[in-house]
Amino acid sequence: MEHNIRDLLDDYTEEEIPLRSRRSPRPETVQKRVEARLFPGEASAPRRPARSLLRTLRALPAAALLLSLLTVTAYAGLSSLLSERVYTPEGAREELILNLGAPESPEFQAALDWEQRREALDLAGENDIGLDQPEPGSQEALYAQNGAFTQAAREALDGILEQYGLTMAALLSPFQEPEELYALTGRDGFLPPAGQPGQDPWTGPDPNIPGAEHQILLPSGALYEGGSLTYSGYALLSGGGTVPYDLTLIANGRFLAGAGIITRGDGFEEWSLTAQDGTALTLDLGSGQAFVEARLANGAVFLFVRAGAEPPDEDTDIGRVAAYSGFPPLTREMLEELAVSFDYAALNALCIG
Amino acid sequence: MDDALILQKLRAGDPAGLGAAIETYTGYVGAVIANQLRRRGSREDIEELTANVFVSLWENRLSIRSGRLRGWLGAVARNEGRSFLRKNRLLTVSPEDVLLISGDVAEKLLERDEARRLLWEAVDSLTEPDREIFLRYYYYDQSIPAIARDMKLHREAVKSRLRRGRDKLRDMLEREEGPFHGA
Repeated sequence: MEHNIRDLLDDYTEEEIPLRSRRSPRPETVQKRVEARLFPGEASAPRRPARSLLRTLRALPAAALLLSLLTVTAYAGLSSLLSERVYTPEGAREELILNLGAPESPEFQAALDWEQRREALDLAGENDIGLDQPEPGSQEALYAQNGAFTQAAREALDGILEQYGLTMAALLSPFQEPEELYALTGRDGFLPPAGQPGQDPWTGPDPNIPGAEHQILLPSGALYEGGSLTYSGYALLSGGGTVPYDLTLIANGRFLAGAGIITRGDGFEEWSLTAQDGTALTLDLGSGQAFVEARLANGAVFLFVRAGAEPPDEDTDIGRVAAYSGFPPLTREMLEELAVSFDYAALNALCIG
Repeated sequence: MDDALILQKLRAGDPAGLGAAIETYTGYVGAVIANQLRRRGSREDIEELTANVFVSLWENRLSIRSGRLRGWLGAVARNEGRSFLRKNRLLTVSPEDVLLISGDVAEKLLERDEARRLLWEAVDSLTEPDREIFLRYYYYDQSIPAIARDMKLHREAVKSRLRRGRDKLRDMLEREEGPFHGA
């Protein structure tokens, strides 16, 4: 018998848990609305906008919705793309079939093995070690960073690392802007030029939320020991538009849970391209997403591009989909421009093994 | 102004009590609703639903039995958010939301009220921080990254605790153990 936990918690009373949200309204705004309802004539309520975001969502084409959900999933980490069920607003379930498309490298195979085993392993052990934030740089932090929270999981991960001859890459520093990464690595300009925050639909305030202070997607990344890095950011193209992407650089011999896994659906156009420094690139362009893969001498680059060949729907401006408003479809030329805008020689040099 | 005084003024029909409640609890009520809506509603929607909660407070001021407002407001706010999503067909169900109960107790849980009562008892019997993680996720609809941020835990620890809590609840319900043993 199935019970929906959230439904069963209706009318439950909770008194203590502190809760906050940047989207909480201001008391004076609520006061005006309440007074206008209860004491009309004494106050005037703010007017609702003519355009309802909900009407917009209901009109969303299924493909655009899947695109939006998949994109947000990718933001949470590539590993979560392994098998993702997507729910439409009407509740109809669609399961995305995602194929693995990464090179047959030890780093990828180890990450894949770990992804497939750790779900069960997390629950298998009794010695939960992941409750508290471990000391940065400690062995516990390394295990926690890769999702090993029980003794059984630790042992399994150790076995995988030994099998593939890898070591865990410790987190050195998080960062937000490319300039911070350049300062951390002592190398400049190996990422494409970033868009100007606030100047376009990708990086500006959410157009659907008047007065919203947050950007649709905040650039962020992390640099790991041995030169591995992950970064979610934007690239400015010559046409003036910006493209959001997730970059993962895995150094040879280093293990990063989930970071070596690239997944994609069907219907992709795939072709090869050679970067200026001779690096061979594989490009995949799908309807709502695109990938670029490159094998370097010292590591591997995986690029997940949050745009695709299908034109964004002008009427998809709600929440997660808002980022697509006003952005043209991603063409082969645009993907190629993005792909060759990375300095692969510099990325290779970061991977010191 | 504390809850007792706010309630006293509300029951006396004094709008100052309502103003104090709005001043004190808009942040919390708005957060409950914002978490429910996530990006499925605009800031205007959140403002309006938050206002609905305080209108309800005024309209029900004579029937509120609890001496504390926060729990009452939180429950109403959560219901406002979920009603909004349901009305607009935006309420989704994920596999993690479903508790599959088998065994002898399944028959008893055919009664929704019984299932609800048992679940509430089971949730309250969870040890901390599992209970807080569970309620943040299932009651307040906070995302795992937000829970990890607010509770200063690693995301994977939150996921692991949630899975464990869910399994524990199911086991307790199926075996009729714990706080409702013999119920």
